[in-house]
Amino acid sequence: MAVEDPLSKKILIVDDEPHIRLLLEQTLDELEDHDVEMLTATNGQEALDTVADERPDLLLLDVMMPFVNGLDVCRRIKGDPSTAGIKVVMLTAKGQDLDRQVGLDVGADRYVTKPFDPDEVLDIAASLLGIEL
Amino acid sequence: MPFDPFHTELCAALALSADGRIDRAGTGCRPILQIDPTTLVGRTVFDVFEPEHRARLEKGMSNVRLGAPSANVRTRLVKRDGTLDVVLRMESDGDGIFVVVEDVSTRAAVLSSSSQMATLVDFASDAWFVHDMEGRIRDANPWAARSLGYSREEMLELVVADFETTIKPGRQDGVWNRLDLGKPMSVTGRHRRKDGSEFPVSVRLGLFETESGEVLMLAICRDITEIKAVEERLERLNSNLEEEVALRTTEVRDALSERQAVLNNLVDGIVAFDAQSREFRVKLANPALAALLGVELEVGASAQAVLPDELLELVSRSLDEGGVVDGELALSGDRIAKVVVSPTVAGDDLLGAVALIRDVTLEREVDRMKTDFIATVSHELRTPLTSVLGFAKITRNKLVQNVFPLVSGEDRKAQRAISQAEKNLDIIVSEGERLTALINDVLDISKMEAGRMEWRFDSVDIGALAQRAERATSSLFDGGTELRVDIASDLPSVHADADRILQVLINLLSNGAKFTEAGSVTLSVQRVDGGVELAVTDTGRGIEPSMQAAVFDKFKQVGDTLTDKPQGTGLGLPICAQIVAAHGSTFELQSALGTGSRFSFVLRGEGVAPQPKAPPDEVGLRGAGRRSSDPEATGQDILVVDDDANLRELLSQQLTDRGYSVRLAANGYEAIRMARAQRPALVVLDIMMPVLSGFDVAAMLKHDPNTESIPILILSIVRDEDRGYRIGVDRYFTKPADADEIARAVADLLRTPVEP
Repeated sequence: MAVEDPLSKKILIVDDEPHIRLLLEQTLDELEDHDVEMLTATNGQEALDTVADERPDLLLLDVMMPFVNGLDVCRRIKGDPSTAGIKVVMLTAKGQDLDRQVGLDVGADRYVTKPFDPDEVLDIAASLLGIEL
Repeated sequence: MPFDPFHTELCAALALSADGRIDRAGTGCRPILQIDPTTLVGRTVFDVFEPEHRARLEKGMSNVRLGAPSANVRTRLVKRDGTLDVVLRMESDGDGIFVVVEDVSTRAAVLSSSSQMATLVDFASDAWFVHDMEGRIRDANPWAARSLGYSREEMLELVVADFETTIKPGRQDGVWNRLDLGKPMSVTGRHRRKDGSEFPVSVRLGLFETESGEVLMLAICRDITEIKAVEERLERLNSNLEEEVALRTTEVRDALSERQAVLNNLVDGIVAFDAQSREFRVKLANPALAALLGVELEVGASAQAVLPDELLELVSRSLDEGGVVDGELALSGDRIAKVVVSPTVAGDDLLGAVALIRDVTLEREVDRMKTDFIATVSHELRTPLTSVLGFAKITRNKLVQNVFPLVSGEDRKAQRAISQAEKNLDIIVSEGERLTALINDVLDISKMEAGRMEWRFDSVDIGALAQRAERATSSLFDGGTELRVDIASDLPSVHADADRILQVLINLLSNGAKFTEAGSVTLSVQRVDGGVELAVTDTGRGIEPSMQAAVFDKFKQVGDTLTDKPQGTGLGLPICAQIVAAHGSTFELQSALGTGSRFSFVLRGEGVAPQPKAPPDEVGLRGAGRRSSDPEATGQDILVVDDDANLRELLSQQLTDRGYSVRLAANGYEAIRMARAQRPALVVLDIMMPVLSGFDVAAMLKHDPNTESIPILILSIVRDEDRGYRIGVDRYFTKPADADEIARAVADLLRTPVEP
């Protein structure tokens, strides 16, 4: 459970596509009014490093990435008791039932298909962080 | 001058009326019968000839009347001074009978030494003559003279060589010397008439000895012109037949060697079996088959132990059903083959079966690559599309919320720019969404074409499905077009993939809405022979006859796409057609320009009687005992998800009492797994559960195309209905809930009739 201290909230956006990172940042920038800090990572390894350093509360995680893919990142985070409480939203492509199946196995909290509706992603992030918009 | 039997002395001719009375007597009666012909007229043959032979005469006449070509009756002529032996030769002559009377008394004297021969001669209906060993004619009957065109007197002047062209004049025929007394023989020859014309004859020759000791020869001749003609025709036919047989033999041989060459060089494996026994006796097999399956087949032997069971099973099925069956066969080395087995029949007889085996590994690989490629491309397309759509939406929202209000209301130019910018962003969003739909459709159709679509066939309440389609499309009918729904009440359940049929109905209704500017679109679901007909009829612009077949082609759109409704990818109908085809049905399209279109297809009924409407039921969910209907009849699966065992049990009992079949899940993971595997008709879901909350479960189920259509009823202490409905749950109840209300909601979602 996320700690009820708004000042400590951090969201890590993980996507190798710079435009998608920017889009997600803009999608969520309303949350900055609620003292949520936005972090980004461009691949799986960077994401794991940032998780270790920054302890974010929520990850928006793309599945398809070079080096360490999103599924591996999620599995490691959820498999480590010290980071298992971090919420993970997987970004997948529609129709890839396999992704969703594997995603469930790796313990992601939510799944969003691309192309996503920014409003929906904002709602999901807010509700996972317990923020009233 | 033609031969007239009534005006000749060669024979005594009589014409008898039907009753045997003599109507006319020829001039020959006087010399031959020694009776004045005029005295004969008006008498009957029975008066003139031996009355004792009346029966013979009557029989002869009767035979002729009944259609015999002729009849010979031997009798006697009664005269004042004695009797005369005669033979009456009778022939049919219209209603009456034509009779020629011959005096056989003298002949009897000549032939008396050989009574057997005499009988033969007297009763012969053919021409005969007697000649000596020099060939001189000694006697001849009128027929002999007549057949050769001589008078009898002239005949007696002739030698055989005068008319028998096969005998050289002045030479005895060799045949004559070979004859023995009493041993007749048959020869063929040619006779020449007095006028020079010739005809073939069959001659029976016999020697006899007269009382005076002279050896004479009797020749009985028959004109065989007709027989010869028939023989020649037969001979021609025979020789034609031989040629024909030779030709056919060559053809068959050629065909066989061609077939052999084809079989030997065919890439596909072929094996033919005998239908006589089910021992899979091989009639024929080609080298490719041996190579594909890695087996050696012996013609005539059973292949039971040699060929794979899957193949033999297909062959058995083809023989049993008498139809073409196909299937797949795994080959060694991860290869895969397609098998088609056709029965061989001749008329109604089942001769055997031929199996064709084709290695489709490469095709499958190409298919798979194509599908994978499309999946990858569509995945790659989503990333830029996500940016385009996302930024457009964000930009629009930010402009509308934060920027536009700041622009001065008086600046008309700025106001116009604002309205254009907003409209333009809307266009970007709607086009982006259209592109997304296209990508999804392309994925769908490539999966279907590659046979990688997973179908989930089940017993489907088609009426309820049609109502879902109605609800899903009702928002499209806000304008001038009316949506009408006509669902029959006595529908049988059908065997179908509910989600896919729903997709078809929604697609058809959307098309109807799109192409009907004003009027109506009607969804009709009716019982027809063998199943249920689903039809969507619009009063729109209609489709040109020449374009009607093309609407099911990929990427074809008929008519002009309305610019203000930029929906549709051109793949909707092809996908629908594939779905309908997967249900063993085809689309019927009726359309007339300016009048509208009607798309329809029939889903096979399951042969199950429609569910009887349950009688009004007073018992609510709380009520004990009475079941509203037979559980087998209602029997729909409900998945109850709650981590509290007591609550699970309570819900289970209440629902089971209503006739539902209930499965239980104790946590979210189990719920998702069971929902995916068993696809229940409805899920009752608790929210507060460890690990995965009810919201998460609902989101997962509503996000998965395979489970998104399953209605979800939330029953929880958590009051967050908005969140629930946003995820897509169908009903939200907070505990403690009125059990009757829940029952009604369940029934409503499952369209089970319940009257509280």
